[in-house]
Amino acid sequence: MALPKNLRHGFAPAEIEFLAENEPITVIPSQRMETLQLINGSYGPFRPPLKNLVPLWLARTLKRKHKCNIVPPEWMDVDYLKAKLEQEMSQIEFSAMPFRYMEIAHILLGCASDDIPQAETARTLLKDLREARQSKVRSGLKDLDPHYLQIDNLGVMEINEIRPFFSRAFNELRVLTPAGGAMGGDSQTTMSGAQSSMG
Amino acid sequence: MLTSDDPPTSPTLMDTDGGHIYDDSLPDQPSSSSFSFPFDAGDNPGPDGDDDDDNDGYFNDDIKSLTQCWINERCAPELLPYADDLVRGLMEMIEAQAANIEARREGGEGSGGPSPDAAFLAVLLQQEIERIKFLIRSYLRARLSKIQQHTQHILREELYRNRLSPEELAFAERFQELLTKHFKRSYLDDLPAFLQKLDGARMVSSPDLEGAVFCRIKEDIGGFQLESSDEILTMRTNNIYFLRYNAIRRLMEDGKVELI
Repeated sequence: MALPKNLRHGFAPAEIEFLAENEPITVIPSQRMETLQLINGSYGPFRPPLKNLVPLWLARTLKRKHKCNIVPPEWMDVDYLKAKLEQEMSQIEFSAMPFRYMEIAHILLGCASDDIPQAETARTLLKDLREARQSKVRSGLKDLDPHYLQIDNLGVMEINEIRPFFSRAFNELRVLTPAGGAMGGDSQTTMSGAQSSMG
Repeated sequence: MLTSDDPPTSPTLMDTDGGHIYDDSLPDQPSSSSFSFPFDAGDNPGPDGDDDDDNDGYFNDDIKSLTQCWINERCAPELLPYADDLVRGLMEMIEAQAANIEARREGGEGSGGPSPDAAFLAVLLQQEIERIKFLIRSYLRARLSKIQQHTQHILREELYRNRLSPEELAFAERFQELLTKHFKRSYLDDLPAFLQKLDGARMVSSPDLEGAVFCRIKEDIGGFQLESSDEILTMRTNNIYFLRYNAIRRLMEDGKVELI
């Protein structure tokens, strides 16, 4: 088939990471370079020690070639992460982290750990944060109903992880619920129904 | 489809309404195009001075827009409208960019081949091209996968039929033809006539529009009545919901909600 089975209901982690690589990040070039005129836009000129805002994939390539240093985002600061972790443990809601925090952190820790102060501590804190959030997600499963679930502040990687299970559970619940089932039974009829009733 | 947020543009590359400046002249005469490539700055030994000419930053939203189309296509149960302009525009830009890389590589500006710096820049440009190619490929594959899954339904319903690109339509028709022929030859012809139908009631698979999706609210929507229950949601920017696709289908078409 045109799309492998495992990609038909969600994204592969590598694809989620691919998306995160479009996020902007600040770099400090370590050598001069002309303006880069990409299809996406122009970046540069690179004049050390002036900072440039570039897509993450570009920053990673430059970093690998030792042509820049990456300025880690504020939320990768160890103190900030400690505060977040504490917040995460003490409240029911998910604490506000950037939508693509997991992938960005993963990429940065992979290619630029020397640019991140206390990288190892940051790594551990991020892992703890992730685990705390994961267990919250799991306990949130009991709130699942066939109507909706609001999950603000959850990152896209976290969403992608729960997608298969949650979708399946949601759809099963939907079939079992009479009220929703009456209109959800036949997709042919609801198709036109939805169009007229949503204004 | 193109949300024109009016990015800071230079008069070159960006032309949000009329599509892309590439249309006519490229890729035959890359050097005469108004799209200047990074190597141009390096031609003259002149150091900082002429960099400034190239400095007008431009920004092109097409990749971002197509990326969202890709995500929506992958997440939505039904086939969505084809992003014709975006795909075509980006393909043209890729061709132009590739032609320029090639021209520069061969040209060498009379100074005996490109400098290591220029070569590195070419690598970066190439890398971007590969990323866009991946995006387009994956987008088309996501669509093909849906077409294969619900071929008959898509061909039958005007709504979906109109969403196909000419190539996709040709593919769908051919695919259906092959499938029908195969079924007939392998067993249908041996069955009694009343069992030979392939398009009877409940025989055509259609997407489950009530299927669950994750979505993010892009702009404040306010009170929103769910069809399936009496509850009214208050949708604000950046809220994330997990709900039936049908509930937010319209909002997604209006660009107020994106699937994730």
